[in-house]
Amino acid sequence: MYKQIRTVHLFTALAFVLLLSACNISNETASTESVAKAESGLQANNEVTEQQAGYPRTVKHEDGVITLDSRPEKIISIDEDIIDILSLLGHSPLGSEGLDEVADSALFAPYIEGKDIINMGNRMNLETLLDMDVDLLIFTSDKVRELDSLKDIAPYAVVAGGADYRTRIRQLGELLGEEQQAEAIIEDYDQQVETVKAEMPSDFEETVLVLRANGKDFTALSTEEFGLLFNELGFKPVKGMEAGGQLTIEGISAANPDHIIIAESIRESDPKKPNGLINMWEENPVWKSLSAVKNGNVHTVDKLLIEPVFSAQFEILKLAKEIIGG
Amino acid sequence: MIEHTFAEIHNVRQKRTFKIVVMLSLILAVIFLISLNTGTMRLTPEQVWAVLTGEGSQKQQTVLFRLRLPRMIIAILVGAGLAVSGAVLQGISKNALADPGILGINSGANLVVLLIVITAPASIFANPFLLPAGALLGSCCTAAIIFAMSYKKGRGLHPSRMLLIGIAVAAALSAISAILTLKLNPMEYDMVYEFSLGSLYGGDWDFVLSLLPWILGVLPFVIYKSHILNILHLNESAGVSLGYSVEKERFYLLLAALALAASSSAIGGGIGFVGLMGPHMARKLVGPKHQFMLPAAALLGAILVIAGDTVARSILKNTELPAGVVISMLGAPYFLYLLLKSR
Repeated sequence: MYKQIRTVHLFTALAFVLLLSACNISNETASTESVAKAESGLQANNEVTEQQAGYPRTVKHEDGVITLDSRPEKIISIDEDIIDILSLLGHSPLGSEGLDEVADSALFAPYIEGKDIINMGNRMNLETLLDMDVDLLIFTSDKVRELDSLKDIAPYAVVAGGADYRTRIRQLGELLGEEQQAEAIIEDYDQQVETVKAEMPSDFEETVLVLRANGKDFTALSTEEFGLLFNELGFKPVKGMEAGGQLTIEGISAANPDHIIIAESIRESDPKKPNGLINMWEENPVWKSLSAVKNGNVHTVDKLLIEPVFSAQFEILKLAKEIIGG
Repeated sequence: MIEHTFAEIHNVRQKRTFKIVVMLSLILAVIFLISLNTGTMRLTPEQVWAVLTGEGSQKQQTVLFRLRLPRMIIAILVGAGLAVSGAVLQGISKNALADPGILGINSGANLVVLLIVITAPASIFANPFLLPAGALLGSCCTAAIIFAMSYKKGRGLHPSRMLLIGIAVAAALSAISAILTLKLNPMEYDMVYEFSLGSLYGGDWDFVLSLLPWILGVLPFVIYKSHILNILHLNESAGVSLGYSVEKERFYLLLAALALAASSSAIGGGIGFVGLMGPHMARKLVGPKHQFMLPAAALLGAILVIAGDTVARSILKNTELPAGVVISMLGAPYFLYLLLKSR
């Protein structure tokens, strides 16, 4: 009987934990409500006529069609990789998934610092999302795994993912009523690409290998994943490595590229030890024997540079100049 | 005279079991009500009642009928399924540490989920049944391999041999999964990792309807066969002398355990500890007889998963924890206590 009482006590404790959790949420929800009220007050001060220009509008996206009655103000990004484009279009999201992944990136700092973007973690809380009365959820086609869970909760649109930046920017511009700004961004980007292309020597034969440092091994990025450098600018990948794949340090030695572009894995990196996953190889004899290392052609870059992030493309253009100039 | 004493003991145990099952049902009902009122979106009990009686705003109805209720029912079904599956496996194998993992349920499911994530295009993941269906396939295939390797002509299915083969197959599949994990990008890794930890995120009525027939169909069958489990657990030769086909019964019960665990894992992912803890706690409450222990284990499993999932979806404001993590955090200390106590 004593054992039974103890077990019942265990469950009473469990119920107590649940009650505590309920109380905690109640307080937090109250603060969310006050923030929401303040936000709606600010919105009321905006120029209504300007907001409504071009709306209602029907926009075709990657997963169907959406009709927007007014310009979406409360936007939640399901893919952190589009925060920079939203910011460039003048519509920073209210919240985003995956903010932890980009929080310590110098590349993203201009787009997230001081913007009060709510960090929705890697799995956003569905009730919190419902409570936010979001105008638009924006997915990329790379990150639609939560589409079924979220599509009933708020209006949504799916934009192009991967390295198709131009389509993505145009689609976001159309959703946000910022088509002109979107075209201006693309035009500026195209001009910069053309400038670097023009500087590209026709006889440049040095090979480039793009690596993600995982700690114990590396992931080579495919030419498709790093399309700007290989497909648009015409840099040469290492023969046989076009499709990317997993590599050990010996694998890199066998590939023996002229240049290595390397960044830490978002997942494995430690913000307290910047480039720790790359620096750990410095004393490795195989690493030291690589031609790229001997010739000073290892280019350590921000971890977002090897992710499908638009603003990273400008850094890649700078890097391309550095490589052909070096 | 001796028979009369046995009958008396049986009656006393039956009454005690009845009381405990009623008590556990009440605890489950209380936790259900707490869970119904708990979430990041605040609903007072009056508002919950209003929504349940057909009133309340559209948003409140969405919270209750789209987000909370289906998920709570899934939690109950998954918990009951895993706990009873664990109880059956412990009974058959005569090993108190056996759980659905020994049939390769989790490792097989993880491997197939990994293969899907690596090979399928991203757009296909918008289909909510893709990963559960893959997980079910992986679980069943792995269990079939373990069954086939454990079976010896003339000697049948030997429990300890099956345990060892199960451990070896699970280790091999986990090793393959570890190699494949290296191919994943961060987003894919998140997806697989979350599945392996166990989560009821996004559970809706479609999932309830797909899980319900498995649990409602197999649970009564297992309880009906509880006297066979008692025999298998204690003395197989007694079963033979009583005219039972022990091999056949063991095979049916194994299939039932597989059906419960595979269907639960397909929806809930790798929720750990429930298959181990549910039966242990039930045994402590009502004793080892399966006709008493199985209903108690089902209720305890349901309580553990619904409580764990309620904390998982409510403790953080903007995001969620995988339910499996919370259940392990609640369950691990108790399991350690059991181990230390039995030393």
